[in-house]
Formats: sequence, C-alpha cells, structure tokens
Amino acid sequence: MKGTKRLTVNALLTATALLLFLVEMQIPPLTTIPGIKIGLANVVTLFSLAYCGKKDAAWILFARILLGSIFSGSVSAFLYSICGGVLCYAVMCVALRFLKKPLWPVSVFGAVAHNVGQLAAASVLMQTVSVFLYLPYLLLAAILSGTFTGICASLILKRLHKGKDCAV
Amino acid sequence: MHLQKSSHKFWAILFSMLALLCVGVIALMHLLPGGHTAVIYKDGEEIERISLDAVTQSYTISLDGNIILVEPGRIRMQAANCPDKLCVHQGVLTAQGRIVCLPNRVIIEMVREKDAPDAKVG
Repeated sequence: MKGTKRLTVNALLTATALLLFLVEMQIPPLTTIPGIKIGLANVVTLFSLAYCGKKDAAWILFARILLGSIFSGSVSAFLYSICGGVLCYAVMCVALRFLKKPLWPVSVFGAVAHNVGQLAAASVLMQTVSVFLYLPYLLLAAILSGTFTGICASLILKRLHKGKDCAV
Repeated sequence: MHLQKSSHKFWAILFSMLALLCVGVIALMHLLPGGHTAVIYKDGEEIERISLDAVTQSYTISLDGNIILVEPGRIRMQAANCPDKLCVHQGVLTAQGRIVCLPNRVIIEMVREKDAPDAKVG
C-alpha cells in the first residue's frame, strides 16, 4: 500500500481502534480486579500487523493510545496503556514471525504480554512487587480475551481476502 | 511448519492447560490461611500497620482521595475519588489478600503477623 490509500487505511484503522477503545471504557468492569478487560482495540492492532505491516501497525497503536488517553483524560492511564501496548506489540511482532497460520495464538501471546506490561507499570508506579499477586488472574483473563480478539481479527482478515477486489 | 495441520488443536490444548494452571494457583492463593494484620501503603511506602484483632471500635483513615474503614477483624475501602471505584467494589478484606487503588497508588494488604509482604511474592 502506498500514498493516499495507505493514509486512508491507517486513518480508518486508527479511528476504529479508538472507537473500540472508547466503547469498551463505557462497559462496566467485569470484575473487581484492576486491569481485566476484553481488549477490543487489540483486534485492530493484530489486524493492522497482519494487513499493513509492522511500521504502520506501530503508528496506529501509538495514535490510538495517545488519543485514547486524551479522551479518557488521565496520565496514569496513558502510562499503563503505553507499557501494555508496547510490550503487546513487540511480542506479537515476534510471534507473527514464527507463527503465520493460526493467527489467534498470536493474539493470546499479545494479551498476556499486555497484562504483564501493565503489571510492571503498576509495580513501578506503586513501588511494590505485591501487585504481581494479580498475575494468575490477569493471565487467565488474557488467555480468554486474547483468544476472543484473535478469532475476531482472523475472521475479519478471512472476509477481506474473500472479497479482495472490493476490499479497502 | 510441520505442526500446521493440528496446530489449532495444539494451541487450544496448550492454552487450556495454562488457564487451568492459573485457576489452580488462584485456588491455592485463596486456600492459604489468612492473617489479621492490615498494612496500608501509599506510593509504595508503608504508612500504617494495624492488627485487626486488636480493633474493638470501627474508625476511618483518610488519605487524600481514599477513605479506609477499619473494623474489628476486617478492613475495607469506604470511598475513593477515582472514576472506576474498583477498590471500593473490591469489598471487605477479612483474610489474606489485598485491595489496590491504582489511580491513587494505595494498597491495603492483609498479611500474616511478622510476614514481610514482599517476601510472599515469587
């Protein structure tokens, strides 16, 4: 992809990710454990990694986190988001290199990395390692949500490949 | 890759096993005997250590943004000024465990006596 098409696709994906992110913020927390969420915006991250490549995916992710934090309006949310997001992105890049065919495990690895990143950020911000006691809860949540978002992303990719001529 | 055909199954089994392991660890954490000393941290620094068995009259502790209710044998976050109020919804702490308020960086932790809270991690 080049030029205007690339710009348009990236802008569209950023807008989609931001929208998913903001919609998800309106969902009341599923549990009382901080940090557990579905991670709908991760669908876009994984999709853009597979569809647009690493560089564009990184920009889409960064733009979404920055804009999302501006809309949610808190600095600590930005810190948690960026730590989780960067780690998630890095792990998914590595995972995609070794694992092309079933796409959803990549998403699970990403979700796990995201939660580990957020816990690391929390332990630095609060200067304690005791937040890592939440790790088993967050890992369990990451496996479930990662599977879900991964299946979503691979379904979208499949549909797009089917209707290639009329696709974005 | 050679495991491509069965790889859906492979990953599904692997992740299910990992999930089960997490459930096991969580169950184990809940089964551990509880202590009755509550430690309150703000910004990573211990600010108060309360032996809850010695508490006879309920009282509250005010930190900026959080109000902690101390009762005989239990402790809870009564109010918080953060938007999600997860710490308030985490309810009462009666056995080993913790209540965390991420936005205000407050942690209430229930530990066994003479137990350094950090030593349990690992």
